[in-house]
Amino acid sequence: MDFIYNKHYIQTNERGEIVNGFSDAFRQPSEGDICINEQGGYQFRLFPDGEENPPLFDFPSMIPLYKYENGEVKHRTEEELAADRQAWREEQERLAAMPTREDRIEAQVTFTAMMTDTLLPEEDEDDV
Amino acid sequence: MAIPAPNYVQGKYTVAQRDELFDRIREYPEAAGGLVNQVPTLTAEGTIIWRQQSSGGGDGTANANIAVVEDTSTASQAHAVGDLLVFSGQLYRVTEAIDQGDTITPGTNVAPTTVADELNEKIDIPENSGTVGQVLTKTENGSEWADNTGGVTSFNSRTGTVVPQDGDYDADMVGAVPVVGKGINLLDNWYFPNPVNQRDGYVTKPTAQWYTAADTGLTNPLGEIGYWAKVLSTTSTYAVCTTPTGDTTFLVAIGDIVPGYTGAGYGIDRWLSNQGSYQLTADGLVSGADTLWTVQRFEADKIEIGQPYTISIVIDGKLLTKTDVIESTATTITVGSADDGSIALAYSAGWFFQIVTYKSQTIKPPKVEKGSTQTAYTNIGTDANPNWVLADPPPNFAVELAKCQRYQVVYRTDDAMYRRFAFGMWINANSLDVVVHTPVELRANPLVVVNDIIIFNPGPAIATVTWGDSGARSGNAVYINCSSTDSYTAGTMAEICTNNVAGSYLLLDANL
Repeated sequence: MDFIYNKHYIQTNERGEIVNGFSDAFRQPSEGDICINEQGGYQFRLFPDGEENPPLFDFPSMIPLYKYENGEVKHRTEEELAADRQAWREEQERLAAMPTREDRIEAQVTFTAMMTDTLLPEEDEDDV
Repeated sequence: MAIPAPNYVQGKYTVAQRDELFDRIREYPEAAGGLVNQVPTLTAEGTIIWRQQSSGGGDGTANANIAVVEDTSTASQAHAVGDLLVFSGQLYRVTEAIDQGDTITPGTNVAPTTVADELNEKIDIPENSGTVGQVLTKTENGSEWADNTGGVTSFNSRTGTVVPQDGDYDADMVGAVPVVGKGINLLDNWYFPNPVNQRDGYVTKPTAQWYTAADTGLTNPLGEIGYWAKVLSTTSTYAVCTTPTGDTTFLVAIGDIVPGYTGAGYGIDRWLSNQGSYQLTADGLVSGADTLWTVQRFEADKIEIGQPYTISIVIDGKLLTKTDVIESTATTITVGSADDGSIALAYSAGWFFQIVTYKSQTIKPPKVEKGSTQTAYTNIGTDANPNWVLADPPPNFAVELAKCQRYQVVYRTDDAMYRRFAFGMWINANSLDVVVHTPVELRANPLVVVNDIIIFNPGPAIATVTWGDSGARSGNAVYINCSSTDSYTAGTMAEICTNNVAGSYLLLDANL
């Protein structure tokens, strides 16, 4: 009996990592999208018997968990993921070390007050 | 309870007394023991046990003797065949006529009998109990059971000695519950007159006049559409519609749209159309002129291999029903025609039930049930002019809604209100985590479909984000990650709400 099949597509980045996946029940593919299943169900799956609408990214780093290599969808290796997580952590530490927007505003206010001799005295703890 | 012995002997009983006597014996069988015990003591020749025979006679006590007591083996009087007599403490029935002075010889002209056997005549145990399985009945009130002539007037056109045979009874005749199955409808959201309809779809009437998308005043009608077009959004005066290809929008007057769906995709909850259109009416679904093909997919445990299943539906007043045993996933149960429409229970990457019509027809509620008897519809008309009415009561709407919300949940508004339905938190400057609570646990990780959802960050500031396509289930909640090219303060909260225009929604789609 004829049946309604859906095609499943993925999108990859320049490193071949899968950054999006969808069923044509919900959207039509664009040029460059890769069809990985021509007789799929309504919901997207990376693998024929795999989870429906699986998370494609690590949390909270948002590192891609899968890659498309030699015509196959594969899990990225632990080594690949570990390297990306390390890079992400270093980036987070670098961002944390940078002055925030509030820090910059406070510094600007302090500098202006000093230059105009309007710097407020330190708060006396007894006044708190 | 024993009946006082003197009551049995030598007396006249009124009809009331007789009835009371035998009623009490019937009610208290042990009471017969009083008579049984009495018989051996009856020795005085000529003593007569009386019984009331009929209600005739001036005083209502026309009596007949039950038995005469003989004190020796020489008969003191004549006895006719069938009479009872007591001799040497034993009750006998006369088997050969006895004249006065004849010798009473047990086994020759009398046969021993018992009070219990004689009482059977009064307590309606049929003398002729027929053959095994034979249908017996009374010929008239109070008379004996009978068989053959006079027993059964007719049964399924047969008379006389009627024995049940194949075909005498069917489930409808006896109101039987099917041996296999309980008449439960395995479909979700099958009650088409009032279906669960979370997507709240609308279509145009084919006769609607259409206007260009810019003609919001509806001043220049451009003719009838001629087909059922999908409605994208509405205002109080017009509806924005789209062509089947989805590449052009146009307007129709708000009064020219009706609840319904057109094209491929999910319509009312649980029903996925491959093609065609239908309108929702109080009578059920009304399909469009072109082919409608809509299916409901089942989860794996719905259909059992080796069991019989029955599918039923009424399309344009005609009952389509078919039963078959599901031998394997290769089995297909199907019934119908191009003229009548068709239904099928089949397997292809999972079991599904489908409805197909090839012209505009009214589609009543379908049923898929385990068992070989259709219990969906009852004919209250005649065979020649049937009138099929739904035998099942309408389902509990709340239960159906909960079942449907296992597969999809829609948060929407159709009025000018911002409706909050979830909260989010910026986990860093460019990433917003949104947690949406769901009425029931979704079947699977849902696809997230967003249309015109607002994020107050917090209000009145509005954040601009790109919604993640899929949500991860977490019990009765779904987590969705949104990203933004703008920067926001990590740790701050955001309110997620519908916009204040009709057509704003967030859909969690975990359909099969």
